[in-house]
Amino acid sequence: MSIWITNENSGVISAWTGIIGTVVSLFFGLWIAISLQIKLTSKRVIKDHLINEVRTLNDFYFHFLNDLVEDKRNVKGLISLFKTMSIKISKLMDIIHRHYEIDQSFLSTYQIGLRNIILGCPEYESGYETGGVLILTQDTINELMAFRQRNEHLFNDLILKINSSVVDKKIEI
Amino acid sequence: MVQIKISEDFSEDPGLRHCSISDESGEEFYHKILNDAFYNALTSSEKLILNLDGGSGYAPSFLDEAIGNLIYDFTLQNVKNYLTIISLEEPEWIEYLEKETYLQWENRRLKNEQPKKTITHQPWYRFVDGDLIKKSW
Repeated sequence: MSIWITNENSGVISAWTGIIGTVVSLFFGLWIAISLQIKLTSKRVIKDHLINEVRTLNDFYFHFLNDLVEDKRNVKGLISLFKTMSIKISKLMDIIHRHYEIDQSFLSTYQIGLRNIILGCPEYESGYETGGVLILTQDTINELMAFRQRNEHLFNDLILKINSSVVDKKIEI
Repeated sequence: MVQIKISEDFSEDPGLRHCSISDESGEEFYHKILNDAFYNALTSSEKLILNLDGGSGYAPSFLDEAIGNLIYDFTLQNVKNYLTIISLEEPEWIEYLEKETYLQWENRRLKNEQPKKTITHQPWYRFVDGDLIKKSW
């Protein structure tokens, strides 16, 4: 069957072409808008998730230091707890670095400093072999409090850096 | 290239600095394993790999005493040339050792401040005026 374009049907064809063109343009416009929105939303979700992880870390250390000051922590298990936290921070900072190019060692000062104070204090050394509750002296508590005051801003600084970061590389997780 | 993995070759639960305050201390690790292993690496011009991964973790004093004694006996330059430390699980140990232990113990060596020994050890190697001498220092 052949189709002849005549004066009568050429108007109809051009009307249909116009309609199809409009529909296609509309479809592409919508597709771009929705994809962009999904992309922006997913980037925000990743940011919020990572910020939440940093907050959780900060909360953990806050409660951990309070426990130490209130004699609620045992000598045994502290080394492995520091290792667990270290691995956790290391993995988190690796993801943050890959997304936002933030220095991976951003929290190293905090980890190293805190571990040195607690595992290096005479009370820890004297209780190491016998185990039991770690009872800190006032000198060590003062040192811990000073450390906290000097370094607690690091967590907030990291959250601000993530939040204000515009770099978000497409990465495979 | 020889590798020492502390968790496999020494202990899964390394202790603290000195033999007098804990079992499996940094002092013990140095005198039982690290001094000889580094001597062998140095004399055969090979790198010694010290792997910190595995095990339950470290007190800073354990690593400070072990690596610090190595610097004291063999000089910082030789340690930098012939020792590679691997710590994938806790990468901040590398930063800690390079920024603190390396410099403090090299200063101690230059000032001739002898490391404290809390038990009697078998003779061990020390680099003195270009020679490697083994004795109870």
